[in-house]
Amino acid sequence: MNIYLKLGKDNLLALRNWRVWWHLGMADVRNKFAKSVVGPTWILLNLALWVGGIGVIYGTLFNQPLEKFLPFLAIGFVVWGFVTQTITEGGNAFVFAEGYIKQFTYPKQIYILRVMVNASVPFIIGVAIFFVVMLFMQRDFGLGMLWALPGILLLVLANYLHATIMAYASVRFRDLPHGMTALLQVLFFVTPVFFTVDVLKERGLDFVYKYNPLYYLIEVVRYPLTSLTPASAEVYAAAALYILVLLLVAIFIAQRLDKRIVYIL
Amino acid sequence: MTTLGISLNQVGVRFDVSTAADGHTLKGFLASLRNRASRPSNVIEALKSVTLDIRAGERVGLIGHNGAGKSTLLKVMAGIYPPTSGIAKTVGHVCPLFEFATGFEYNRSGWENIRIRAMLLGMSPDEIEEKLPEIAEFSGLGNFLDYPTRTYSSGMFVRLAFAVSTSVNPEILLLDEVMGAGDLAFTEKANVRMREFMAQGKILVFSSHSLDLLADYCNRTVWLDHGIVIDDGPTPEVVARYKSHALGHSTLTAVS
Repeated sequence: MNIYLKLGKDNLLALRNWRVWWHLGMADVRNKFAKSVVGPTWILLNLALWVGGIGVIYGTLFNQPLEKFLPFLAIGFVVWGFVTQTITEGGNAFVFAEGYIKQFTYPKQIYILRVMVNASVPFIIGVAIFFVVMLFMQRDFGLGMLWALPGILLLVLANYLHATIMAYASVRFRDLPHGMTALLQVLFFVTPVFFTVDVLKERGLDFVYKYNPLYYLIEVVRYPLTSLTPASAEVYAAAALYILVLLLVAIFIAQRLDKRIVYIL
Repeated sequence: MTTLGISLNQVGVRFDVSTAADGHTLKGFLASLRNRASRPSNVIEALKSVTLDIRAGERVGLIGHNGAGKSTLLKVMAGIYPPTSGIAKTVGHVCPLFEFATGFEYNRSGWENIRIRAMLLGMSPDEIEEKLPEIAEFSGLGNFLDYPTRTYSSGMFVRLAFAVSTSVNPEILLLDEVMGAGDLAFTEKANVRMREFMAQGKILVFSSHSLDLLADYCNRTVWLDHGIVIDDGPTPEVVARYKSHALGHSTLTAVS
């Protein structure tokens, strides 16, 4: 069978068997917080510490009004967490599922979708917390926030492709997840998450966000939620372009490695 | 819709074991780019142009010494190993049962592992809940099902895996050396279930070193050696030839 056709079929078949990856992913989430006293509340505490600690300090440092800066920081951090989790855990998707891949015949994409479920839980909780922060800061709500939905769709798509690339490539290059973890730590400090784009513009550092695809992935969700209007057309175009590039890379890597994965695991 | 069956045509499987040692790290990869010629190529041919046809109702045994390619062949039939040459085609709902100490979530209970395995074998959640008591009963694990599977012995893994795999009611059952690890009581139970399965005219492919079991279960036996089918026919005849040959050569020779 043609390898591209097979990849397409595998992805569809995996999606159709949503119960399997849903179950595995949710079980991972439960397992992560097993024997922990506060359990998933850690997601809330983690975010609260960030928004409370970093928010107040950097808000003051960058002269930002807190009622604007704290929700901005909260949603940015939540999206960032979603992106990084799918990249780092995506790298382990096949490696950790070795026992399953060598025994069962479901398409491997099941284990990528499992990571997506696992990473979506903190994301969804985080978005809920964002609304609480908005409420707390007495910010306006509006229908314009719904523009975040197409943004989330783009974000999920990009993250699925991130995870796919990482899942395949990491089986071949086991250093990749470590390298990406290190790289993401640096990227965090050059991506407008805890500082605004305006801060960069004032200092003539536009290039820091302009050529950073992750900025656009954050912005398609953050902008509508904080400004109640859609982000600019250029932002959507950049995000879509990035996803197209990811798709091509993912297809290239998957078609080269798909048949070999089970042998090199 | 084609009929139930397994058809292998000139199937070959080659493992590149050198990548496992040096190609997997970035360092090794860069080194291999710089000096392609010096990269040792350690290719193992696990299967060499295997051609086999297995039709509905056949119960096929696989024999051969360790490393002969039996497990690889079963994995090709299951669709887990894509052949590196030739064509493999399997029609029917396959239920594989291999290397049973992997593919478990060690921190989760036996119950949870039954659910996961059953799902990965294609059962729906409703079906699983319905069959759960029966699977638990058959496994005979009792209270152990409440414990995390990291506390299990290898015999207990077999019990759990076998109970799940046979309860999905597959059309093609592929078993790799699984009957050895269970205790006597379980082996008896497993025997009964195997006979039920065999009575339904489905396909069984079964690798074992127990010639008695082969004679019991299989009407046809395939003898593999160094990835090549060297004999294929009715079980008593193949087993007799295998026996006389094995007694003559008791040492293992590595694949070159």
